[in-house]
Amino acid sequence: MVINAVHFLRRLFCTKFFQVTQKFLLIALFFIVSKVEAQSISVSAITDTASYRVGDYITYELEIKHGNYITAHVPSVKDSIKVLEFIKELPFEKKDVDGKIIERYKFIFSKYDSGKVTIPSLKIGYSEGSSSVKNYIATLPVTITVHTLQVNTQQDIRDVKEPLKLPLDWLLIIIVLIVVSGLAAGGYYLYKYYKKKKEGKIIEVPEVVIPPHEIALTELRTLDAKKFWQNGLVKEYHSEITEIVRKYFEARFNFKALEMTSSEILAALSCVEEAKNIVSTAENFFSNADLVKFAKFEPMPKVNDEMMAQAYRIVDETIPKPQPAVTPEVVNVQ
Amino acid sequence: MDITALNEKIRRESEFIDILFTEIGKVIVGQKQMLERLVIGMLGNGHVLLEGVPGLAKTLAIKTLAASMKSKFQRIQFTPDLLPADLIGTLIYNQKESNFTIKKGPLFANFILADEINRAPAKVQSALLEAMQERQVTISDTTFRLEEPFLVLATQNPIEQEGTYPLPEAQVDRFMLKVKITYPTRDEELKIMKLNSALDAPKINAVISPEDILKARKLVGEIYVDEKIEKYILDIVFATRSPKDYGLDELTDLISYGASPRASINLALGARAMAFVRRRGYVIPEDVRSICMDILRHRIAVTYEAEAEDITSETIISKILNKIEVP
Repeated sequence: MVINAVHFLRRLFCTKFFQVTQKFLLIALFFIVSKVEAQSISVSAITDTASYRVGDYITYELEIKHGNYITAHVPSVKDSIKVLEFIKELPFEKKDVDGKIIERYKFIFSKYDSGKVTIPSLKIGYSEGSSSVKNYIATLPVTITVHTLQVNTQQDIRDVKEPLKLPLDWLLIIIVLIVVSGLAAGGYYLYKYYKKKKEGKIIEVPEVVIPPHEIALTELRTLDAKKFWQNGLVKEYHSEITEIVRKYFEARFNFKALEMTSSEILAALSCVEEAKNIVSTAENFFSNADLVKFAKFEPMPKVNDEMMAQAYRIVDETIPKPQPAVTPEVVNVQ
Repeated sequence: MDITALNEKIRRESEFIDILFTEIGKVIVGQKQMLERLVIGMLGNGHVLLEGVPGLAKTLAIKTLAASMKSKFQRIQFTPDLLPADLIGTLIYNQKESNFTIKKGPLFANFILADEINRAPAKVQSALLEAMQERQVTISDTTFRLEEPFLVLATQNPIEQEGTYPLPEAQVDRFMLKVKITYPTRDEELKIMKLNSALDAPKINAVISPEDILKARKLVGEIYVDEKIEKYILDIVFATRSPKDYGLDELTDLISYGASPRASINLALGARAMAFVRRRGYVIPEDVRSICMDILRHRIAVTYEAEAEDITSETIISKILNKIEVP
């Protein structure tokens, strides 16, 4: 029975009808397979390299190949990839190669921490023709390594980049030099011009410096003429006479007598060689004045007169002595 | 009173000052300025804050001053765990009689040495400063007047600031004088060395009584201050407040706040006491100037800019004194 069945099949395969049918079936199979292949979809995701440094730009490329009748629905890559910092999206490319559509999406990401990072797989949706049925296909995860920057702690801290050197702009330098020279020449000319003008017109008047003793003597004479104490203004008389003498000391011996107390003035006077001879007179003068000014002391008229005499004595005895004229040294030449 | 008679009276009544200084001088070598200021504080009814490094005879000076006056002296060492009751006193329960009895604190004395006042917390400082101001102490519901003369001499160590409670400006202002004590001279130190190595320590005799001080205080109040001197005092105090008005523009940014009216009062009082110590019945500008630094140095606050430039209140006072015209 088995032998008969085998024999029947062998005969059947050898018939002309079977051979024609076999050829038809092969052609039909070819068309069926071609159509299936034309409607397929493939996705891939790659990065420009697998090794980066912290802060480098990472280019993530998503490629979708599909037939004409397929519509791919790409999700928001920016929101789907959380492990990287999204920087920007590059222009989208779409090509038709041999009846196949190739879509390329490029994104720039970055990473600010070192280590291995796996970009997760992306789920791409697609639908065929006008069908509302949505299918999905996923990319493979991509693993990259982010390296940290190597810092050499042995070396000094330096700028990342050397300072830029501006190229010498000779034209600018020449212009600046010309302007500066012009201004200097103009200034010099103006200076010369005004100097000449001044020389011709202004007559210098020598400053008249009145010596302190002359001022003091004049003021003492004026005070004497006012007859203060004779008119009952004893305190005012003593205040004014001490002020004249203190002002004289300030101008003559160059210390702040107006801001000093009587004892401080006496101490300052005893340090000045030219004033040592008047210290005791000044002591008497100031102690009398202090009594009147601060202790309601009413001096005898004789004391008031003596105050004036003492003030004149203080000034007269400290008038700078005229410098002896310098006589040229005679050299006896033999 | 006639000024000549007053002058003569002061000259006569102030004789004890020389005796006092001579007596204190048996124990204390040098430190004339500090002793003079202590007497001024005593005469001016004010209190004195002494600042200086340890070992400059601050305590000894006060003890000697108290010993030479037949008066009661108490020393209180201020520490962080001190309580107000440790100063003013407290109520103690008497089991026998089943009632509370008052135990008076060390403040009940004529001379109080508050050693290192800035080591105690604010509540203790306040208790002392209140007693200084009011001259009375309240324990429970009983108020006690403090004995006159009542003089507090507080000390501060300027070098150790860790773990201290610096006195607030308002409380420092209550001290009439803040005296800075410096090291003795070489000759003075030699004398100190010899004096302390001798076997017999000099004995201090009580040369004056508290009544003499009270009498002297009355006389200090009678000392004549001319209006020129009063104007000079006001010029100095006002220059600390508005230096620009006195041609001291450079001080405007250095002074945080100037001296209070208490400064004017104390400057006038201090100048009077100084005139008394110098045995005069009237004040001269010299008296004002010599006491001015100790009256004003703790009453002028400097700004951060001044601190950064190492400018102290003393520098400011010196500049003011060198600018204000002496009458």
